[in-house]
Amino acid sequence: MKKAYLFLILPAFAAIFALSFTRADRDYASLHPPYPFTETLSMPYYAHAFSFMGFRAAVSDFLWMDIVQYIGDPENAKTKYAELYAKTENLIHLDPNFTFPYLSVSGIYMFELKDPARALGLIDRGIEKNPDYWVLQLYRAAYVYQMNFDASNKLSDLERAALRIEKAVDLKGHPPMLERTLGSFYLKLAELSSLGRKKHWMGKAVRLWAKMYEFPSEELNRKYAEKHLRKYGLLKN
Amino acid sequence: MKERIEKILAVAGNTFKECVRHRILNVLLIFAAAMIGGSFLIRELAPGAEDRVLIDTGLALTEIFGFLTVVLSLFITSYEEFEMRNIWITLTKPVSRGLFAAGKFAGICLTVTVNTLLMLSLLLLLARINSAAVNTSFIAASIGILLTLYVSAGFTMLFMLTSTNLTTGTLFSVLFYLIGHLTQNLKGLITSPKTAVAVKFTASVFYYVLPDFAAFNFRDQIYLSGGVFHYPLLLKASAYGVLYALACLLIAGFAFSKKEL
Repeated sequence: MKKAYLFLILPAFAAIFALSFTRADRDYASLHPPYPFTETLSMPYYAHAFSFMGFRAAVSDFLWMDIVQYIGDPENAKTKYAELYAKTENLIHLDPNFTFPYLSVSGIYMFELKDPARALGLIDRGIEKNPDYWVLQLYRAAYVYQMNFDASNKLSDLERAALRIEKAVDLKGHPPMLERTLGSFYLKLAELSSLGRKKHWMGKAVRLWAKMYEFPSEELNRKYAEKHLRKYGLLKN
Repeated sequence: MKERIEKILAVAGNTFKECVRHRILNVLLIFAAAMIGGSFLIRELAPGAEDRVLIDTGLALTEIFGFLTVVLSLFITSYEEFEMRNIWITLTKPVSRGLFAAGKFAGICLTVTVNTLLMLSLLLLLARINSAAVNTSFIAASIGILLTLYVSAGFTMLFMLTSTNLTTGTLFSVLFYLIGHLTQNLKGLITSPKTAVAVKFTASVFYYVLPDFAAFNFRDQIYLSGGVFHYPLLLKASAYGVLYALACLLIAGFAFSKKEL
């Protein structure tokens, strides 16, 4: 009988140890962040119930559908989408890795509601939670560019936008077209800058073209780089 | 040993056949397929996140219907065995109660594996038709769902074989499944300095005794921008799932051998 009990206890203890090891894994904490109770108080109770039951991603999808319906209703446009920010907050607290809402809702704030602070706030939070997603960096570049264009402060806006595109270009999966865009930004900056800064931007452009020529991510990039290197007499034959 | 394995396989094969032949389970599978197919339509309501909706909803439904398959399979087969006294025919043959429990568990796991794989194949087919991007995390999510269902099969069998009637066993299983998704949050209660010592102790006991389904939840990370696949965590979670199910099975077998039929 004693043997039988030992036979029962051993796997139970082994399971407890396995659970401890699983929970101690550094990925466990990052994959299962604490439930955002206080941040999502305005969320419907059924959304809480299902996300609490382990279906956070699926609930986030349904919250996104709710946001889309909300944006699509012309009645809500009259109130300048008063509930949009709260709804988006709920969603991104629940699933911070759902990247599309950061892009589209920030776009609405930037271009429709003319609220760049909220647009940039959303994009920054997206970048903080998803540092490897290059599209967010590109959107941030576009917003900064747009904002400062409105403020007639062309140079600094271009610089900041270029910095963001640089970051996006450093990330895996960026479209090759982005490298050509960055090259054009450098040229524009060199054109608008004073003599000292002109050298700085031209230097950056040349280094980028050289990299694009040596290690092209697509043939068009190599041709683009070659064209510019020849134009400035840096590539002969 | 070989003889024992043969007996387990015979009971498992029989349980599997019984489940496959049963209409309710077939209807459940068809319903699950229809629901997963339905997520193909729902995705239209989420512009910009169509692929995500299809995969997330499909995986969530696969797990829910997988759990229903586990509970219903065990309820139906146990009802026929205990209430209709069919078990006596099996037990008059040289099959011990422990081996019977092991065979039944294996049969249920086989049934639920086949069902889950069918549902996942349908989901992949829909993803393919829709040209949805499916990364390697889908495999981790699928393994996580199967582990959840094996653990569920373990404790459901424990409750079915030890409770006084099958309805109570089913109710306990459903509650255990629901609570298993909440145990992750007990950690916050245990580590909080505001929690009383007695509450901390009780919470710790529940924390380790109840299953932790969050350990098998790779579904929610399937659309991380990096497309991660956590092999070490998956291995640890698999070890935990297998050991937890084994512990449940052994306790069930032991309790069943003492039960008065």
